[in-house]
Amino acid sequence: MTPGKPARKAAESSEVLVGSVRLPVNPAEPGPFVPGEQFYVTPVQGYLEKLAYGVAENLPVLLIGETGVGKTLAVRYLAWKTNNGLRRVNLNGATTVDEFLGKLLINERGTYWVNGVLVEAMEAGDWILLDEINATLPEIAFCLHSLLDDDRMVVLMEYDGRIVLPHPNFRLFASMNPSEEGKYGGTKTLNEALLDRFPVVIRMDYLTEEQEIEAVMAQSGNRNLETVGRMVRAAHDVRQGIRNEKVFGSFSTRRVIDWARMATQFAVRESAAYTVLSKLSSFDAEVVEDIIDNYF
Amino acid sequence: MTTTSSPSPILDLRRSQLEKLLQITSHNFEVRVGFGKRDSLADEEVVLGIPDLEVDYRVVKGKALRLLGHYLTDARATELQAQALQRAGAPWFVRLWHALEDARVENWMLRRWPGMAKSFEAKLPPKLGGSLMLKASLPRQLEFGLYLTGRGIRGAQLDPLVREALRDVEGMAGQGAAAESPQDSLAALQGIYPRLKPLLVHSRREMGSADEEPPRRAARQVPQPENAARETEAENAAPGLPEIELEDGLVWARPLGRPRQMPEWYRPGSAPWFEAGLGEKQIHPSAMRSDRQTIMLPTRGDPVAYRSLWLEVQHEAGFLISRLVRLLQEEAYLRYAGRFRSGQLVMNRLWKQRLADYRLFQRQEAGGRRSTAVSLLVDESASMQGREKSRLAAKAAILLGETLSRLQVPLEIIGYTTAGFEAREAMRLGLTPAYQYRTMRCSPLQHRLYKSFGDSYRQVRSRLSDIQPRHNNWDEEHLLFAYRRIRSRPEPGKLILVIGDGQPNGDADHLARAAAAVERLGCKVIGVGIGEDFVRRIYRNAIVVSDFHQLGEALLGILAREIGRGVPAYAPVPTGGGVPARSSAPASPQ
Repeated sequence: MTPGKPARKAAESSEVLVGSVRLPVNPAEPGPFVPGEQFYVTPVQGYLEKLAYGVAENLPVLLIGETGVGKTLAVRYLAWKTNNGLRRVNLNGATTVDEFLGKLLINERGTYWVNGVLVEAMEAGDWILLDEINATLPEIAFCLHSLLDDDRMVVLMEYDGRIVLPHPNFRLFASMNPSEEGKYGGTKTLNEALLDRFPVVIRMDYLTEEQEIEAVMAQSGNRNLETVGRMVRAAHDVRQGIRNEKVFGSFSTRRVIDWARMATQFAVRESAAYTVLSKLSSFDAEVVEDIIDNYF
Repeated sequence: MTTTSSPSPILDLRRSQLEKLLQITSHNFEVRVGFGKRDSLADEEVVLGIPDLEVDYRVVKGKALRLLGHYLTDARATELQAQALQRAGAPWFVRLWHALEDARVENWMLRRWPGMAKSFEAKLPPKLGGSLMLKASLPRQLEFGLYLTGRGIRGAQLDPLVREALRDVEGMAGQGAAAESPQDSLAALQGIYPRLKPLLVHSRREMGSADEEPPRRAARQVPQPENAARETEAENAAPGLPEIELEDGLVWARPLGRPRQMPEWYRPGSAPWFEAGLGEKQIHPSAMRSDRQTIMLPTRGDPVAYRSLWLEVQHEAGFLISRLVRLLQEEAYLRYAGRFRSGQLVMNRLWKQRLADYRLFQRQEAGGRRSTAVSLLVDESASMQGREKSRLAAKAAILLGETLSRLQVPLEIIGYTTAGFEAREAMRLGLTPAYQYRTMRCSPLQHRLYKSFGDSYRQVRSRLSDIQPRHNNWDEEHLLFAYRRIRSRPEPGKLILVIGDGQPNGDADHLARAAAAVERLGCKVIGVGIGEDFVRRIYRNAIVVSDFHQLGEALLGILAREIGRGVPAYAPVPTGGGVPARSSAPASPQ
């Protein structure tokens, strides 16, 4: 995890309005984990407002969506707006409880305890985002149970049985790709007990065409509305194909941004070959190339 | 509707690609694409007339997209109106309208999909035909010129009379071609036609009856009127229809589809059988094939049939998947072991540092989870016909395929049979009476790879709908084929599941010996018998099921044991025994 660059305060006022939800802005000086300025197009489906509701009510939120729909960005944006630190942990099958809660180390004077990323965030009052929670090990999932329950605490059994209570500003978010499809390697169906402990679960979808065009133009630096519009429409067509199992793979907003960025330097079709088609199997790439060919 | 099957794999691949293109472009995933003698449209189907196999993909793509445009802006009623106008004394009216309508549809599509221009224009001759266009008749030049005018393409060399006539109507043609509906293009042509008619009449007078409007070879893009389409369909479909004979009020209809072929020796009750102790096996030289030559590419299958099978197994699959996931999650705990100088500290050993023993740490054990490759052999022999055995086998394949693909367990599904009926092949080779050659294989083996290890299950799953009884089976050879394939997998655990009725051709002892040998080589073999319990006499590990519910339960047990624990801890069979004790029991033919 790398700390973000020193951030400006998002607003001088003491609170931020997201839809109908008011979020208090952290009055403290921006810490090293507060994200830098974020560009975010608020989805019309109201995901951000529901996420803000989770923050306001101190409820853990689980975000589910295809890769590149903007799950992480939504949390990072709110963290920036409210001047809160955000620690992002990419979980994988090899992330251990030691890295998560802490571990005992040894030196010439004996043993000493080092906090893991979760305990550090809890004590510092930062937000924590557990990415790809369905790729994690059951041990970590069970650690989270007590934190997600009403008593909100973690017991360091490995150390001295100390109870860690979260700072009032601490918030927990988790994100995952849908595991039902079985197309994301290393993921598994989320344990029902863990799923049950997230009071708010948001299933996110891609942005609408107009919003995606706006987001891609802002993030890629490609100011050609006509070209970006066609790219986004091609991506929407392909996503329809993916939903109907005609093409296998994904065409995320992130890929459109990469494509649009490269297209500022190279030809559009050539850029597509390096940013989109090369990530697909050969047959799917041919179909997607045909779809792109409809637009360019 | 005449839809011919694709004559070559390349064309079949193109058909699949074009179908996906049209479906995704239109967001209508019911549209089907077929190849036929001529272009035509029907409900949910686009048929492309492909003149030859060498035709440029870009041209075919342009044609397919144009047909899609006509499909999306349904012009059936307008077509009828145009035909009525032609019959009322307007020669070439329909063809001219088609030209303008083509231009209108292309313009309509280009407004949303500007990149399609390349595909649409691929059909145009280079340099727009050059001076050769001047050799065409005036009506043909008018037709071509009207299309170009509608599309706004210039530069074609046309007869001065045609050029002048088109210049006169350019505005109206442009309006008609820019319109949103076929009615608008028809209205535009009604305005244009009086100005073009003198040329058409002039041409008829000059060329006499030779320049009568030729019968339209292709229906082009607009659907036929209902009656005509029905007649054509009846005409084309006639050879495939069942023969119906009326005799004294009795109606007899031959069943649709290929008549079922039964072997010569077949008599009711003569199959199935199970025999052991027949002696040495032989293979006729004409039936020798390499492994590669026995691999058959299965058909693409029928997605609808697959869906119907899937609906039947859905409940069991859901149960199986959820139970397995739970079991695997329990198996997924990390385990630490050993005594190391780094790793995870074991608190209980801390006192040892006083004794200068610093091996206080454990390390994660290498997990063997999900490290099993599974090969499913499905018996496609004729003996699988009765009591829906074949359907049960197909459902088992689907159940396993859906389950293991979600659990990311490498899986291969092989359907096995022979190329012909053994008795018939033996007689053909002069080996009569055929029953005396029970231990000789006279027919080449066939293996249909419904899903190989490298295939994505979701992409090939429709193929499983094609599992069906075919000819005979020599299970020992099919088993060895599957073993040779699974042997190259990196997973330490290897499991072959054989689903069948346990009635191999020839001597069952051969199969029992092959199964034992494969097990000795480190690959577990489990026989799943459908309906018959012969598998118990052959395989050391065997289960018998009579219905699908039992199958689900049995598979859960097998998978939980074999995949959940990772490397299968099978007990090797003692060497030298050949046939396991159970299979040595006297086997009686049924």
